[in-house]
Amino acid sequence: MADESRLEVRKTVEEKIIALQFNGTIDESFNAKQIAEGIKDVLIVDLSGVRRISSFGIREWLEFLKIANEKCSGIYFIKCPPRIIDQFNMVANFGGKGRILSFFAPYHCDYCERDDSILLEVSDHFDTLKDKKIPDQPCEKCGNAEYLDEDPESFLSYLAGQEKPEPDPEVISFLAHRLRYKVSTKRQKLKIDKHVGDATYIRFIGDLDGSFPGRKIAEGVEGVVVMDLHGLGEILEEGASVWIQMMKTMEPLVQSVYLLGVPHQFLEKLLIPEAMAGGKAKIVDFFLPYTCTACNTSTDLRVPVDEHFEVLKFATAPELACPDCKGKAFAQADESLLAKLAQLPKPDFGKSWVKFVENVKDELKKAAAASNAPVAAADAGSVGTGFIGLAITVVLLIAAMGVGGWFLYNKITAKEVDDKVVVAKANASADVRPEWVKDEPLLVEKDGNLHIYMAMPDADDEKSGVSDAEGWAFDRLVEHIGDKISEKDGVWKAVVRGLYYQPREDMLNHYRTAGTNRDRQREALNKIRDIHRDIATSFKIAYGRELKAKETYWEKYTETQNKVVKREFFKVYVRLEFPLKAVDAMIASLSERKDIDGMTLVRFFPGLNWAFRGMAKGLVVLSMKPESKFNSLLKPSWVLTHLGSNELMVASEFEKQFEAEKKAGEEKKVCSISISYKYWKPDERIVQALPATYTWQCPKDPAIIVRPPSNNANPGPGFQGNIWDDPTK
Amino acid sequence: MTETSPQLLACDKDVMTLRRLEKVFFAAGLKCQTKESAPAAADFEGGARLLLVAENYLQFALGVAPPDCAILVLAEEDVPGALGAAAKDARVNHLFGRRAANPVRSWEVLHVVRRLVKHYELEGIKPFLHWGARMHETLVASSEDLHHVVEWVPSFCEKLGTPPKVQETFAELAHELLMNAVYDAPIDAGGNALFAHDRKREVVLTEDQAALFSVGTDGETLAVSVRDPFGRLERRHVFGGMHRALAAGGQLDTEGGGAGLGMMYIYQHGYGSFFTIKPGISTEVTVLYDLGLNRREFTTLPRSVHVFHEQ
Repeated sequence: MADESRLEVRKTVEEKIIALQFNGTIDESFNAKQIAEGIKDVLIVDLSGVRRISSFGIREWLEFLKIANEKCSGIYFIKCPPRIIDQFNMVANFGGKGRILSFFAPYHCDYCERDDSILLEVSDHFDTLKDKKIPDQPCEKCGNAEYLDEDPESFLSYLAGQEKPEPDPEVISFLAHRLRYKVSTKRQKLKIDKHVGDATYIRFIGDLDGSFPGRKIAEGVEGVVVMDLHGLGEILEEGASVWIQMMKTMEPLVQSVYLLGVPHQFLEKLLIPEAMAGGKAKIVDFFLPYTCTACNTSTDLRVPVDEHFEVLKFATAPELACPDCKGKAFAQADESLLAKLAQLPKPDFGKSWVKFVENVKDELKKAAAASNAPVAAADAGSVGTGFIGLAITVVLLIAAMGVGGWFLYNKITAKEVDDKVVVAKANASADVRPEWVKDEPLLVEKDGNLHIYMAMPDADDEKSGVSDAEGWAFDRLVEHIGDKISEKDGVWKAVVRGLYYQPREDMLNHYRTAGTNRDRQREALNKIRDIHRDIATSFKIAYGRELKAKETYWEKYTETQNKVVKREFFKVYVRLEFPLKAVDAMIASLSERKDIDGMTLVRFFPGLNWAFRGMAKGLVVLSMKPESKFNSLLKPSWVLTHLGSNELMVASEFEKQFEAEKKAGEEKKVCSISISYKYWKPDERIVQALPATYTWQCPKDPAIIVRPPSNNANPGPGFQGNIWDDPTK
Repeated sequence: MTETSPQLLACDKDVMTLRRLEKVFFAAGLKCQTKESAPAAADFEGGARLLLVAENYLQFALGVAPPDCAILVLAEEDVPGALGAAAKDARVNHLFGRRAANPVRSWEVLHVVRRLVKHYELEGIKPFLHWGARMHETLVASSEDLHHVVEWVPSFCEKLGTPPKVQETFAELAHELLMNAVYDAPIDAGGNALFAHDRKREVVLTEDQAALFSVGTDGETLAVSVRDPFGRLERRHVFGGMHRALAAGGQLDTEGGGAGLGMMYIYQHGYGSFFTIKPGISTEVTVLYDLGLNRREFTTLPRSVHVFHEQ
């Protein structure tokens, strides 16, 4: 059998959870029993790598699912490609009792004739999926709307009938740490489980944001507190502040606080003295990103402080065994974090506490299963009635089951404690929302004009929102022009697009992959803003006058919780309009070539600002013939900025400027011209600026031949000057 | 059938479809009678032994058509219903899938009726593609050959400029057809299946047992075909399997072990499938894919299924 078609299955195991990642073809070689071996309580199947599935493969798959159904309490499918979704739709019981958490939806852009595959989280789109709908998406290339390239009735039929997947906190934590997978792209509402027994156990699941009821949690705790942070997601600035306050409030009340399963994002933000309850808080174990040198996979691994204390105190992360291949795995942590980890106290978290936590987790699981319906009812009631004051105890279960009624179980959610977050429009720049406002970015040609619509859904203020929206709008316009030129001019596409395509992709990816890390997001966004400013500047310098219309509109929103305004934000909309004729002229002007002695030049393209920051003018060397006099000096893809002291901007003027410089040089007897240029170094991702000097042989001064004086004082008619410029000779 | 009597009766309420069909039949050299209503017993008195009916007249047709009349169905909305009728009634071997308000494909009608009336022995994908089409044929005589061909199909499709999803779709289809030809079809002299019981084993066939794999395109249609030299497939496998796969709201019930899955694959992967069965001699399955359709159009397109049972 050809190697490419062989199915590879990668297993990731942690306690009761096993994840299987399938790569290749599911066909007759799929061995259901063998693959199902070792399946535990929870099965996660990553299907993103499945290329094909045959009918016999389906039969084997069904056998596999049959075993999994018997062994597992939960089965989750992630990253299902379209052909797998087809099988869910066509084959009964293809998913057994499993739930699809995410799937790739095939999209198509009519403008670019481009196919796309977008990963959609079921929980993000659950309501619309019920109606067999998913939203159009902006095309990554042109920004126009791209649509689901399948019949939604049939493609979404299984998903529409699926119950909402709600994985256990342990599963969410496993997905986040081991598979780097987030169940929802949206912010996860913080859920808190609290249990009071020999100690107070508090479990946090979701994102730590401004709604975190830290004060209320801190009040009333005493003795030993165990905080389980395995399920903690994003940590926002507001959430971090509340956390610090909570720990300060706890300090005089508690004997000690143990932190379990501390995620690395917590370490980065909150491993500071003021967040450690005056030294009473001790980290029992934490997660760090590790990379295995053998199988080259990256995953978050648990580091028990007690076990690795002797290594950690030297500001070094311990070397761990890769849980998948047992190879050596090394931590990917920066030195400042390791220095902080070196200060961690050795936790005295004995076996009795470990047992306590295990018992509590078991009981929580049982209680959650047993009280699923009552909890839901209580949730619904709490929203309607609104609890006053502390309002913590929504579900009070005196556990008759388990260990003789020894615990009190509190289930708290942020919603229950602080009421619902209400988002309301507070103000707007106009009484009525203008008709032109579009919620999605759009570029439309109509009525002889090019209309660019841009929306910023979450701006800090209207001014920065307008500025950002305008930046993205100009970027969109520039890309549109770039597409048009590229369609006609392959050399331009290869050289000019080729210069800035990768830096742009890198930057946008940097922003996209910043994920929940707000600092990285902000850092990337600020860089993009700067580049957009450059693009807008270079664009306006050349074509600003062509802007026919610019409209802006904003709406101000407030997020209120418990009648307290938690946050204000702006939705900002911008519309730019350019006459199509002007756009055509821009395309013509930006792609106009000028050949000078075998060297072809084009104008500096605004998109180049992704690589060449702060530039607005210049000429790009598009091609160079070997016989060109510039061949030994300049190379294609270099951006010429100055000729002597003159800025370069218009290709057609280069020759004139060059000749003028040459003439001026000869007059001064300085037969060299400095050509300043910049070039992009892709390996180092930097721009290098250097001068080149064009030299030539200065014309020799004419030798003056003096005619010997004639004896005749009056030489008569005829030429009287020197012989060398005697026009009669 | 006499030269003067109509050889073919076409019934459809859409007069435009009938006019179009008349031209096709004229081109085929067939004498034809058209009717804008359901067929009646009297319509066959002239000797018509080919009946082309719209799906909404199918039940009438089954009641009145003579036992030796071939019934061809124009299937629009209820393809599963037509497949169900075909599974039960041996007179129904041809379903012409067409989208509502779209004309039936003339070439397809011509191809089918000419073959039925004139008994042409057509083989391979050539009859389905325009002149000048690019085609490849190869003998598949082992499991190794099979996997080589399946892995090669995407790269061939890629060279034709087909999107990745079509490439993988056709690799899947090639795999399905070849598995049937290499594992299910071969039998020994006593008529016992040689390899059907174990699809995981490596198989080597003799030259006269080998399957012929063809793939080709004319830029509009992508065609794939597999012929085995055994002729063991039966029409009930085709229509029974497909009907089972498409009935019950389109979800194949797998309680019985997934019978019908293979036919569902063939049905789903192309807009038309042609089965030429010569019992004991050969089985050829040809599947066509329209390169001009996007996925959304393709998914909702009613499929054509044709079974030619030739002696």
